[in-house]
Amino acid sequence: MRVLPILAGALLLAACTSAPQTSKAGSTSKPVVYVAVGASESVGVGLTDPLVGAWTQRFYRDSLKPSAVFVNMAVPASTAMQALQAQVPTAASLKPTVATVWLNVNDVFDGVDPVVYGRQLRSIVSTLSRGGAATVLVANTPPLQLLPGYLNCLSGQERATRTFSCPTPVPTATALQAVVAAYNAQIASVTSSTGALLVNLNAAYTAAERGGTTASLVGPDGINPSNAGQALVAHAFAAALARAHSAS
Amino acid sequence: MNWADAFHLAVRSVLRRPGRAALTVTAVALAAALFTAMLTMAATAQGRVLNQLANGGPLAGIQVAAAAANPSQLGSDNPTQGAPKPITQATRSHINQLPGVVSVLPIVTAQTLVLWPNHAVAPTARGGPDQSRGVVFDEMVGIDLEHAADLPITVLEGHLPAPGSLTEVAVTPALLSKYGIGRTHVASALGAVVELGAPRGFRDPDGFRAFRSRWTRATIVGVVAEEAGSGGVLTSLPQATASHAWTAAGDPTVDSDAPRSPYAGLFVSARGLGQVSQVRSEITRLGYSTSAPENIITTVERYVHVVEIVLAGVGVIALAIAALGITNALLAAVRERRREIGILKAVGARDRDVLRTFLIEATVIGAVGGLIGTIVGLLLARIVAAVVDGYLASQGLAGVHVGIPYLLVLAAVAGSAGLSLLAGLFPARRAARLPAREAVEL
Amino acid sequence: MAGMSLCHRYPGPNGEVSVLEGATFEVPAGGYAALVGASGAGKTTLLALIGGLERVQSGSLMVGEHQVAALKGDALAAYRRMTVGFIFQNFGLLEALNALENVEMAAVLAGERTVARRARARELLGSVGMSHRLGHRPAALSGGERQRVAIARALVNRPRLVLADEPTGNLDADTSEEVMRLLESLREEHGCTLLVVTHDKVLARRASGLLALDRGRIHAS
Repeated sequence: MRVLPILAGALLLAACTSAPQTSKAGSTSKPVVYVAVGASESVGVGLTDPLVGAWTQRFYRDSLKPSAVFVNMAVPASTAMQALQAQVPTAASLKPTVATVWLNVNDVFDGVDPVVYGRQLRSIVSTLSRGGAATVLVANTPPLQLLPGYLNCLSGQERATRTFSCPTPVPTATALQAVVAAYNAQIASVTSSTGALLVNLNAAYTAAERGGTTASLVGPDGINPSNAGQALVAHAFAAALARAHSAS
Repeated sequence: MNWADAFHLAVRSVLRRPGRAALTVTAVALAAALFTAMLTMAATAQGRVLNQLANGGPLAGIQVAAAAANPSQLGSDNPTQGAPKPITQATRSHINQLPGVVSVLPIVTAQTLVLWPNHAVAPTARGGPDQSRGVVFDEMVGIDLEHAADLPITVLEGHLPAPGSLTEVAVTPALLSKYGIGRTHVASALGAVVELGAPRGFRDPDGFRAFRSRWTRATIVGVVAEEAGSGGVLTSLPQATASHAWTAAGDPTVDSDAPRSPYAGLFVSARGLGQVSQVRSEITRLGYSTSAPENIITTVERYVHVVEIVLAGVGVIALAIAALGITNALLAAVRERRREIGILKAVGARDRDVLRTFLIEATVIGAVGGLIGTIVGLLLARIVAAVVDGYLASQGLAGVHVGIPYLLVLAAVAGSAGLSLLAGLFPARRAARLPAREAVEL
Repeated sequence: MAGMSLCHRYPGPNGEVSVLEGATFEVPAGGYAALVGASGAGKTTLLALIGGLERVQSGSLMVGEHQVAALKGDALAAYRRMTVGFIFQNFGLLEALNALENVEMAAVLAGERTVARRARARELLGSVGMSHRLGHRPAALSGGERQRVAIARALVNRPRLVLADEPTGNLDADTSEEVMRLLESLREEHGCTLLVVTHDKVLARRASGLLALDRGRIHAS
């Protein structure tokens, strides 16, 4: 009967030694507060387990220290304009030290002018950065012309999900590419002028596309990322943060 | 003949018949073992039962709920609560100043999602709005971990989170069972990292209701049974306070269940069981619902006392039988040593020298037997406790603790010796009265 | 030492048995007397009376300044301890104690201090030739050795009277001779009175006085 506690003790010991997080837990020099601003992709719409698989949760879990606090303010179907009104005030009130912004897919499909979008994004980023107190990471727009959802719209097989319905009229692939390029130019301009970190999702997706894995990166609704896509995005954000850390 | 010489002679005489001495000592030892084991077990059982009733907290503990008092609550240990009534810092300091109050410990609870990435949720716990893998809905209970000993909390495995820690939690077996971890395997959860999300209700621009969580990560450092609050996650006070604040600030039209009271409850320790009633009625006057196991503890204490008396009675009967064994053995020794006693008298021993020698013989046998028996009895109690511990552990309950009751040990040894002295009185007197003529054959 | 008209009866299976019927005798201080008589004549009873082991029923018995019949309780125990040294036919040693402790025991009862009594016991055991067997229990000693220890014990409290009940009764002829010689030499050395009960005529003749017990009466010669 005395074996039980010994066994439990041994398990505890084993558990302790195999959990490196506990050793890092002590180093809480400055509390990290992370807020995510975004749309359905950032919520993990379409995933079986969004809290496990969403890139925001992954980024929080894998790239920030154990004591970090995380609030995901993302609202599905949100445009930059809507986020500025509904997400950013609460997000800024949390006094974040790290903020991520991925807002562009809905704006593109809603036909928001790139310049107007650029202004709204600049407002979002400057509010969140609070004069440089927060590290803000901003994602640019992936190559949307390859999305199965868009391709379905183009071929006339209209499909709508809760978060996505085909734009009218459906732009051609070339036109869409041009809009995406214009958006990404605005995003690059905002990040370079505000000191925010650019997360080049377009490049990450393009690289994956060359590797021939694009299809598996998109979930069943044809728009939102699959688990693999979420992992790719999380990795891109993590890499951008790591680059910034190693640079400073 | 002085005491030392008589003792020397008595010990030599006992040792001359090692077989008989061993048998007599064994009889006393068995009786003393029975006596000690029974009383130790009774005391241990009492401690365990009372501890269970108080849920590991102090016996004179009172739980104050963030609810209005029920008018008839004082007659009951666990009254039904009235409407919600917030407990504030002011309430806390007010109660702290009541006469008979030793300490007031705040309890803060917060709703929480518990996300254990890549750990499947048990089928029975699935269902409800959120069926995500690894996510269950539960409550976080924040306590002042520096005073955890004064709260109804029992550590089953591991240890409590460090006071003030934001990255350590303890969980209950009930929470683990939602993940399909049975009560016998709770230790396997130690070291796991879980994500805790305090939900806040939002009304989105499109009118949809949405919950956004404030996530923190924590390592499970302990498994506990706790009755301080109703939640499955035990955390430090700051951890729960931050979570509570996030949830409480939510849109009330979205989440009407969100607890608004800063403190979910207070745990008040009275100076003693006798003060509990008075303190409870004072708190009732402040308008708060209270609960305390005072009535049941008093009743159980009374019953356990009766059991103790019965067990002690059985032990005393055993000791009496052993004492008769001593009388018998000494009578045999007197009969056998008639000539020796005669010789002793022939060379000048007084009656009281002989009496003293035999009384010492009896006492030595009793003391040695009592000592051996008490040690054996304590070991016996420990073995029983170990077996019971194994059973309790298999049920996911806290084990029992057998202390060494030094006073009982002393009493058992002294009692055995004393009883043996009495048992030796009759044979010793008989020996002392033997005439010196026994020395010669007439 | 003198006895006058000592009578003694025992309760027997067929009524009382009379052992002594007016026994009268005298032994001078420092004397050496032998008490002889047939088996069952009452020799041991007389010795038990003189030694204070048995209560005097009638008659008077003076040992030194002690009126033995008047002694009771602690005074009687003190008499047995200090005035008389008793030597038994079957040695009468305590089996639980070794030779030294047996000799010491008489001094222990007298309340003598440990160091003093131990030294005296060693000295006496030396004088009976037992220095080499101090730590032996009676069971490990021969008959002769046991009786030597018994003699040493009888002398430890410097008694004025030594009573020996068939001291050689359980010993072979050679050992008997040795023991008797030892006893006699110690008597001379210590200057005490010695009364030896024996049924051995040869042994009896070594004494300076002879008391013959016959049908409850004593005939001195």
